[in-house]
Formats: sequence, structure tokens, C-alpha cells
Amino acid sequence: MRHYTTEELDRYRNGDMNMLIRISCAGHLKQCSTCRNLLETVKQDDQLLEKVRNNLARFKAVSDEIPENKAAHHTS
Amino acid sequence: MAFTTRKSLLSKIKQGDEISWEEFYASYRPLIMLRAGDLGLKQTEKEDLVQIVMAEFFKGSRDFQYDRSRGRFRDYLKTIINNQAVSILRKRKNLEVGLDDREFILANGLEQAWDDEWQGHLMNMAMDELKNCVEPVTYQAFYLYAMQGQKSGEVAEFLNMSVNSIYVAKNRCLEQLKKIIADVSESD
Repeated sequence: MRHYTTEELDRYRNGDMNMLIRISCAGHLKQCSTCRNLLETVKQDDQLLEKVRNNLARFKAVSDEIPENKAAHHTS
Repeated sequence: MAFTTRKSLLSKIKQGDEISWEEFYASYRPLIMLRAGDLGLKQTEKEDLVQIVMAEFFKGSRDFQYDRSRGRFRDYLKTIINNQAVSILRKRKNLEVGLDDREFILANGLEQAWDDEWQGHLMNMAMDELKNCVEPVTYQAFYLYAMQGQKSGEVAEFLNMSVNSIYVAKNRCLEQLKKIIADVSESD
């Protein structure tokens, strides 16, 4: 039995796959716990990415608020 | 700034290196601003806090020794931020009787908030470090697709790559990012 790669399962999860291949993948997932576990990992990875994205946006928003470094003039 | 070179950055600041100082400022100012928000400071007070904390840190930097056996840098920085923020709040409320800093922080559930902000800061630094760990086009594919949420087909066309390559780039960067986050969390 050929297992699916992380990239293939990622594409499957995002619906970014040819319909026939998607149907075949869905059928395989019903029978293969290895691929189901990998798909679960892909989902968790996407949750981590969402956290990173939100964090990046927070820090960027705050960075945009900050004035020029006045403290730098105190270095001498 | 790579997290793993924080020790060398602090060492250069101690020697009066201006560029390292600018790097330190750019890296930690968002963290101070977010912490200021958690502590209830107004916008102008947040800006004041950044300047005061940086000046306070700079004042102490010549004597500062990065020695993990004496405590974590995050705790040292937290203490400076908390102390200065409470001073600002005291002035605003014009309190003559001392407001116990620690009680204020604990009563408002702000210890956990600091941990959350610090984790966010590490994640931010990990993203910066990621750029140094993968090929530029790989990072660009990852950033456009996974961070900016652009469609895989559009990113592929823009970068003249296959859609599958976009997914490969995403997963390659993600694995690297997980390693960096694990490293910085362990050495914190």
C-alpha cells in the first residue's frame, strides 16, 4: 500500500487536489491509520501556523506604533 | 536577531556597540509595548515606558553579566518593565501610599500574561531566524502562502514554481520553524 506524503495530505486537506485523486485519497484514509495520523499532524501544524500568523500580526501592529529610538541618543 | 546569539548581542551592547544596541531595541520594543498594554498603560505612557526601560537597561548594561546560573534574562527584563510601569501608574493615580508592585501584578493575573507575551516574542524571533535557515525563494513561498494566506496557485505562478513545490517549501519551513522554536524555548 502506498502511503501519502505530507505535501499530498496537506493538499488534500486544503482541497487543492484533482477530484479523482482526492476521492482516491479519501478512500485510502479510511483504511490507513498511518496516513490518518499524518493528516492529524498536518492539522496540528496548521494550528501552529495560525498561531504564528496571529502573533506576527500583533507584533507588527505594535512595531508600527513605536516612535524613533530616542534612547539611542543616550549611547555616547 | 538570532536568538542563539543573544549572549553575544548583550556582550556587544556592554562594549558600547551602537549597531547591536539598535538591534536590541528593534527586537525588544514590541514586547515592551505589548506588556505595557497588558498593564493598562495608555498610548503615550507605553511610549514613555519603552524609552525608560531602554534607558534603564542601557544604564545597567555595562555591569550586566549574561549568566544563566544567576537567573533568566526574561526575568531580569520583566522586573525592569514591571517596576517602571508601576511607577508610571503611580504617577497617574498620584498615590502617596505605596502600591505593592508584586500584589498588583499577581492580583491582575499578569504573570501569565507576561509568559504569553514572552512566548510570542520568541515565536517572532524564530520567524526572523527562519530566514537565515532556508533558501530565500523557499522562505518567500512559505511566507506568501502560509503567512499571508495567498492561494497556492497564485504563489506558484508568481515565483515560477509548481504548486507542489509551494507545499514542499511550506513544510520544509514549518519543520525548521518547529526546531528553532524548540531550541529557543529550551535555552530560555
